[in-house]
Amino acid sequence: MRIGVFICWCGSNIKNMVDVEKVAEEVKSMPRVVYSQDVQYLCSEVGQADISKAIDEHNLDRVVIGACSPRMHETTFQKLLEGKGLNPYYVEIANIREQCSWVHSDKEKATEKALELVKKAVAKSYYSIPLSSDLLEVNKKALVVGGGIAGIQAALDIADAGYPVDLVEREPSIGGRMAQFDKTFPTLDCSACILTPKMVEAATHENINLYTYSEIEDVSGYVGNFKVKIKQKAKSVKADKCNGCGDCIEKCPKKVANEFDEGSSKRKAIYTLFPQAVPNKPVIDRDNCIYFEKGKCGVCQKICPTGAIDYEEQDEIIESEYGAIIAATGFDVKKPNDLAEYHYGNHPDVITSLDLERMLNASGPTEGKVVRPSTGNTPKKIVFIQCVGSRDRNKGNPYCSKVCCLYTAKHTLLLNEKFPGTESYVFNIDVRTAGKGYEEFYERARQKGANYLRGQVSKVEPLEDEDNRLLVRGYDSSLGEQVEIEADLVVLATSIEPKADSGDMAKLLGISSNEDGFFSEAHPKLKPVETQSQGIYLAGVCQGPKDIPETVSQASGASAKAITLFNKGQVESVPTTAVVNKDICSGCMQCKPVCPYEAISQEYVVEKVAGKQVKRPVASINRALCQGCGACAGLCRSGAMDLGGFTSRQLMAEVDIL
Amino acid sequence: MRFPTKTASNNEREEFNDIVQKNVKDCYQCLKCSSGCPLTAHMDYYPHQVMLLAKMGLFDQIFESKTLWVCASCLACSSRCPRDLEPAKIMEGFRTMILRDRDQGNVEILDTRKVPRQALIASMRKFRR
Repeated sequence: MRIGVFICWCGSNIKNMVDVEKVAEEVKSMPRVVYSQDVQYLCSEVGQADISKAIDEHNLDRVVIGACSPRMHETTFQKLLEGKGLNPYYVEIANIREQCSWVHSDKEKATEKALELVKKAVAKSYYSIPLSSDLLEVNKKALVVGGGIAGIQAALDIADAGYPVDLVEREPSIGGRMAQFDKTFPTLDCSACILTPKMVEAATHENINLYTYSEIEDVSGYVGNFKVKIKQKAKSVKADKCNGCGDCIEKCPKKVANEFDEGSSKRKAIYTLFPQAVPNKPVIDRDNCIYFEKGKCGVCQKICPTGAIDYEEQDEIIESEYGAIIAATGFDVKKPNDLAEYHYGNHPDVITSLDLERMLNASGPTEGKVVRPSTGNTPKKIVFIQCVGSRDRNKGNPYCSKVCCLYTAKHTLLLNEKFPGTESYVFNIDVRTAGKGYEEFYERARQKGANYLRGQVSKVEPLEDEDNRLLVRGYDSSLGEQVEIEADLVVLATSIEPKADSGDMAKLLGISSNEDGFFSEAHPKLKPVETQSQGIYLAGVCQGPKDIPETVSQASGASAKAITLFNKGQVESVPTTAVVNKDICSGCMQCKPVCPYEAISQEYVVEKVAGKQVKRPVASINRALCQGCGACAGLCRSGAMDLGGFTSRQLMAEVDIL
Repeated sequence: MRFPTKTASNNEREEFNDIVQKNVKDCYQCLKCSSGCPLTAHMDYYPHQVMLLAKMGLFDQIFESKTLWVCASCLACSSRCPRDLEPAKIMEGFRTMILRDRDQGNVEILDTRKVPRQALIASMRKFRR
């Protein structure tokens, strides 16, 4: 065994805190280390050429690298070794950047630690074994979870590439948040005009299968071979018989708050989500239907001319297999009830921006009129408050919700257009207009008359005059004065949040979320649509606040990744799978229940004991399913389970060297 | 300051726009005018505040401010304004509006030799007497 050690400077990242020359020099004394060198940039072409040259000149068969996290460049070095005819798993990486130079400030001690990390890696490489992966077939069908603009775009792109897609949406119609909006910034396109054609295209596309009113129940498997259970909730309306005439909706006696209008209007218990809904056939909301509550009523069934109403319909579980999954589950809007100073929930004329959006929408509760909810009159003086619950560590969400600056500018413009003479005041901390054409849009809003006041509002309180108006108290830092505005309507630009159940969805898909609950991408810059779970991609606001253009780009990016996977047709299996030493396995099968991938099963071996044939149970690994998490190896009582690349022998060697 | 408050009439706004030929709504309150003004120590409203008041139509507050008359018309603000709004010109516009309402007699120069021409013009612009 001939080991070569290479210590990377990483420019000044490592060099400034670790004496790389000293580390490279000291490991030379370790047994079997025949070559050691420090290099300025190991991942660069020059650095790799150095390794390549050293392998040739010194006949190296193991390579130990002291550099950044293996997450970053392990594959780079594995490919290099493979190119030199060595097994890619003969490379060991000591992370002396993230785990050492970046987190320490004492150069001497950091150097000492770096040396120990490298020594451990050398010791581990004494016992490294060659590993290989298998090629697995990919199921060329995609699942898109969420039928908003992100999901629709992703599904359309994959479908256009010629692969089948299942699009799952929990509401009775696709369209998502974008369907709630009136106009979109910065072009003031009518939201429905650009969205509904896409919705119809998705519904009629031969490669897209729509599952509305459905939810994901269970996900198992791995990249290329996911097994998913979809629960199709009972719609109680047979799609093939219903002609969408709407008589049932008209006659239904039960009214409930309409969630699509943010509760500001009523809908029936049998309903379509909005006039342009796709599919445009009603469903019965069983939680609110009189028939399902009391067993009486049945008006819709009596009135239906085609006999499409079916009260007996059951929830259905659909099981299907997919090669890739795209999560596009969207977001919720925070209701600012806990920010008591804004009086939201205590005064009808304090509303959220989404409420205003619904009011402006022609198919909304007021058919496009903006009114004061308390009186129904048109408001003259409107105060907008930005960053309500955003950038608020204390009571809200610490991050910027990204779209509020622009949609507020949009609202002031639309108000100015539709109701000339409306005065708009916008209280803001900063105005963030990072996007193509956004600054110009903001400028237009200011030109058309929106008064931007820099400073947060401290209190909104009822004036208790005959008009039931509100007094907004703020401070304009430019003016250096307190400002009080007697307002007819107060509009709060509320914070964007992940879906309330996004944590459950993350668990279901086996992906991770950040501290705010948004799904985490594999790398914030270089892998923005991938997740740490191979074959699962992200699109839209489930990953973080985004506007529509960005959402659509990301959705297309995610679908491109899925299409790439399908075009390849094969994936390499994980080589670092678990291995059972059947000679010492006691067959207790404790490992089976802990395996999250259901890769372990029981089998029998026949052996001769004291001259007799004995049949004895042992564990067996399905290498295609195993993802190398190591749960079984950690648990195994008899030490029969080992993890390729991280065998007990290797880990013990690491400990022993210290 | 409490809104609604008296704001400039349409006539006043029109007159102001005719004089300055600038759209004060373009101002985005970067504060560059105030940061470079050599006379802020003597002003009640800083230049950016005058711009903001003008933008919101609060002309009366500007008419009553000392700032208009402290402004030396050095044009530092105008030369640096990123929106090319020329705050000095705005100030001038407000002064003109005040002066139009007053008696505009002839200018009497006491000592022609000692008065620099520039100061004379600035003084005429400001006081016209």
